[in-house]
Amino acid sequence: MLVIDHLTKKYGSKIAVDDLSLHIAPGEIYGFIGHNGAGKTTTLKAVVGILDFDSGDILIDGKSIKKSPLECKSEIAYIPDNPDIYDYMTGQKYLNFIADVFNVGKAERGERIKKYSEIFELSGALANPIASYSHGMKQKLVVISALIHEPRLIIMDEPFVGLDPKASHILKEIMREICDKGGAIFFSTHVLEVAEKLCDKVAIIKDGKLIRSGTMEEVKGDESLEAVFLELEADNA
Amino acid sequence: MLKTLIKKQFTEMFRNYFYDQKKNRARSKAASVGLIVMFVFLMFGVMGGIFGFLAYNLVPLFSIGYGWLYFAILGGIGLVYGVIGSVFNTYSGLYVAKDNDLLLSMPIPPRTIVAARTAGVYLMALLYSASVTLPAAVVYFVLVPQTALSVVGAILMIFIVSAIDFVLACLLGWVVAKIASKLKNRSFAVVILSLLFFAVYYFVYFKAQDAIKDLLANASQYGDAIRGSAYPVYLFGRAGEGDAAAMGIFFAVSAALVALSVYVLSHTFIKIVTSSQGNDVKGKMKNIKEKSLFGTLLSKEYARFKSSPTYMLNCSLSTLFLPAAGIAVLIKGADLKNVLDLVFTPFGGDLPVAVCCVVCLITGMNVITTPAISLEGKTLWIEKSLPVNAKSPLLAKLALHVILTTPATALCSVCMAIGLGISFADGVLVTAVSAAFSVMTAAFGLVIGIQKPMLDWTKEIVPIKQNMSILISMLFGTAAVLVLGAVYFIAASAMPAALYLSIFFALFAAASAYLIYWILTKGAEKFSRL
Repeated sequence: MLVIDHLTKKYGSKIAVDDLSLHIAPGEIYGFIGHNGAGKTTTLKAVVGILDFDSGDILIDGKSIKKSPLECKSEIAYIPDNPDIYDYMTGQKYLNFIADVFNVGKAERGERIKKYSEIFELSGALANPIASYSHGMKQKLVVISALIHEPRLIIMDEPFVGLDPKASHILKEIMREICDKGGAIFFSTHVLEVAEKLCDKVAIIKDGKLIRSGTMEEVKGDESLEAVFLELEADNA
Repeated sequence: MLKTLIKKQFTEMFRNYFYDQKKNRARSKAASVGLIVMFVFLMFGVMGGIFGFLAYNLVPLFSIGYGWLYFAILGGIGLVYGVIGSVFNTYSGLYVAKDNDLLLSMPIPPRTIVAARTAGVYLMALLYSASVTLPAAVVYFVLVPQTALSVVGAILMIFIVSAIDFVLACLLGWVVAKIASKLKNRSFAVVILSLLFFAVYYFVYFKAQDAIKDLLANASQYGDAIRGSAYPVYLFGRAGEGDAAAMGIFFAVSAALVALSVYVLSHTFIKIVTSSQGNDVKGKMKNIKEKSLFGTLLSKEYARFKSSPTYMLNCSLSTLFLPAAGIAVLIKGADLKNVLDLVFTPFGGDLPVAVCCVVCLITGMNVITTPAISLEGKTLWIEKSLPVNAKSPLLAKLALHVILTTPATALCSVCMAIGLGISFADGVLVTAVSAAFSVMTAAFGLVIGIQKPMLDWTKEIVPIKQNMSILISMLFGTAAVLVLGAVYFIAASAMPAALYLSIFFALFAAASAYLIYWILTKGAEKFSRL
């Protein structure tokens, strides 16, 4: 579903992502871990087409994000690390805006807005301006907006930051449901316990380079993911 | 502790003089000194000059025994000016200060926080009111013979006015905070209130000279009426003149009011700041409506526009001025035509070109497209991550400008053509040229916005006001009008106005077409790379 093929991204002389290759198949929850500034967000932004890259390619269902950006984007949803959204809209207007862009029919959008806003306990706030939302409420709204068009691939950058424990739990369940239905999720996180429990596969990146990837068992073996991660960080220092 | 907090408060208030937010770095000493000198010049040179001139005109009141009226009038103006200058600072500095939570979490007594915050409010009240009362005192000292008590009275007046201003600013700041938290369409309310304020300001300004003449001519009549029906105002004026009893009363009353304000604020501070968090406006769920991609992008642009009084007031005033000017000409057309004929006939010029210049000049003040991309700020990722062609958001931004400007331009042109008796054919051409001009300036503004985006702002005033792109856009509009007018009146007045306007319609339309083509090609490419 998602192929990252020899991706390289530079900021001036600094190489942020260095020849990174990954393959995320349908049905997989793929975790992406690394220290601060390792290149996770850069990679995710390149995948969703909001950051140009220097070489390599990114294919979504066989289509290049560079050559067919609109076709690729209509298949995916993106949840950024910071929910900077249109403060001047109400939650309902924002969701309608996203639904309009993805051409979601009136009945379907109504049903999904109702369903997810109830699940995430945001129904009562949807009519209020986003400016009045807390960080967590904005994060929930971004999550709902990412689900409204039933994307096949969701790219998430630290999706659990700001969510309360209940919302985090629900999001994990939804992530699993999406993948069980043939979708795929590629997400970054610093919470290694979450990655360990949730992910089918994991990739560890350091200073822009992939240092290990594979199924959870392949990556961590009998150790904890945290122990492996710290070991790899030390080995590659 | 109090000293530290007051220092922090004043640093925040005058931060712009020492820190360049646009470049995110400290200003050089020379730049800081230059800005401070400019501020002092504006406050006490320009504004002080205006009020000093007003004071000079009121000096004859002393010779007829109504010196107290001099202080009552200028003190009253100082009061109004001080309140206007400090009330919004009170609201933002006292009730919605971003560091209230931080300070309250530290072991600082609320009364110390309030004292530091109110010191800032008092300083603003003093600065604004003193730009009236200080020149009034200086003029008084120079032109009127003094005694020791009269000198004390005039100086005391400066502080009494600032103290009353402080009390009123605290009270009105509280009212503003209450209104702000309750109003549903507060952006429009702020725009309307601001426009009303400017209308009243200019009305008073233009009427002031006549009012002063009237007042001087009938000083005894007005003075006796005030003394009879508004004795505190008389007493207020007497305090300025140096009447010991009046000075004592006003000093005591103003000191008591200040103490009461600080006491009340200290005892309600925690409740105020905790209840002012968030927005308690409750919206209503609306029926879901499906929109086309362009429709939804346009709605989003309109929502952005109407959410910001700063954006509306700074970038779209012509949308109101154009119909107002058109209707004014419809009403006063005959008188205006005589004046315009007098002005333009010696140049051999025709009225349609002059009218077209006026309409275009007002139209060019609308710069809605220019900050539109910068205003996306940190939310730019949304449109970039969605399956939206980069052309579509740009077209939506352009369309909003055109929708808000071009009909107003056309209405103004039609009204002016009718009001000034311009022929139908020339009227159509004036309308067409002005409309083409409005599209051209909208497109130019967007081109500049794409070329010089400013996405890392923290206050929206930065891309809207403190942005070179806005100046460039306005200069472009003015330059185009100058070319339209100057070429005609200098070199082409022999040419029939209809032919001349037709040529400019073609030029503006061609320029619009080229700019829109650039937006849809290179502009879209550049936008997608931001």
